[in-house]
Amino acid sequence: MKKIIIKDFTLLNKNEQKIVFEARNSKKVRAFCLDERVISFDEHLAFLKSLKHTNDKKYYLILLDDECLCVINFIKMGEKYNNGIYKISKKHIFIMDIIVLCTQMILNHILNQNSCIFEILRKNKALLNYHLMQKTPIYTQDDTCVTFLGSFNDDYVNTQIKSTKSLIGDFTLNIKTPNKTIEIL
Amino acid sequence: MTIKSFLNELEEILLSDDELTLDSDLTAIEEWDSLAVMSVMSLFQEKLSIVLTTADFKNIKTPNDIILLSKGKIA
Repeated sequence: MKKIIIKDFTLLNKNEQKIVFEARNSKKVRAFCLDERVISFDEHLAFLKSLKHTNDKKYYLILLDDECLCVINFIKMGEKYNNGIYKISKKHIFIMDIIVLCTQMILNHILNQNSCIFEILRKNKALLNYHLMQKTPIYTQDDTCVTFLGSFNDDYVNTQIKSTKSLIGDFTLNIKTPNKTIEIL
Repeated sequence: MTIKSFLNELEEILLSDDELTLDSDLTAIEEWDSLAVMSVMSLFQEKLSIVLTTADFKNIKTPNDIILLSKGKIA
């Protein structure tokens, strides 16, 4: 059985910190970041440390068995959270399905929300098309970005679980937070 | 949609400088990833009115495998 783990950034081990650092600085990820700078490893470590003292920024590493798949983050904007993602593994075509499932799980079980905002740069055509295809309602838009408001209910979550099972087979899903590990599936 | 125009669209999605053929090995191309799959799904929906899911791509290895998903609409 496969094992999906959603791990709070404050709990990353040294190897995971390095993997995330390299992914964050890769050309492909930076191209779709609001902050396109290359950051130093010291800056990266300082950022990870800063996450221990805020509730407005939540970053999670998603692992499939022991492989780092992607990063999902949430930044509080008023009452809602703004969701961002970047992938680490290049091997799997189903990462997006796992991202959607994990996003729902974090919102439900950690942030106690049933919706969030996806801010997508217009140049990120694939992700933009994905949300347009999913008919995610547009929240705001300008020349650079389109923001969508994604909502999730139990039916949607169950469909996503079924879809992920069809891709990777049976799996367990745990969320590791600084205070506790939540066994979801 | 013609096979040629589909291959051109796929080359654009994969940012490929090399010409793709029906038998090109997609799994050997770094850009063949979840975002590329989403772009192909979007292309199918927009141009062919065919709705695909990621599961349809589980065993895709070549452009020809993708064309088979079009059920004759790419020919």
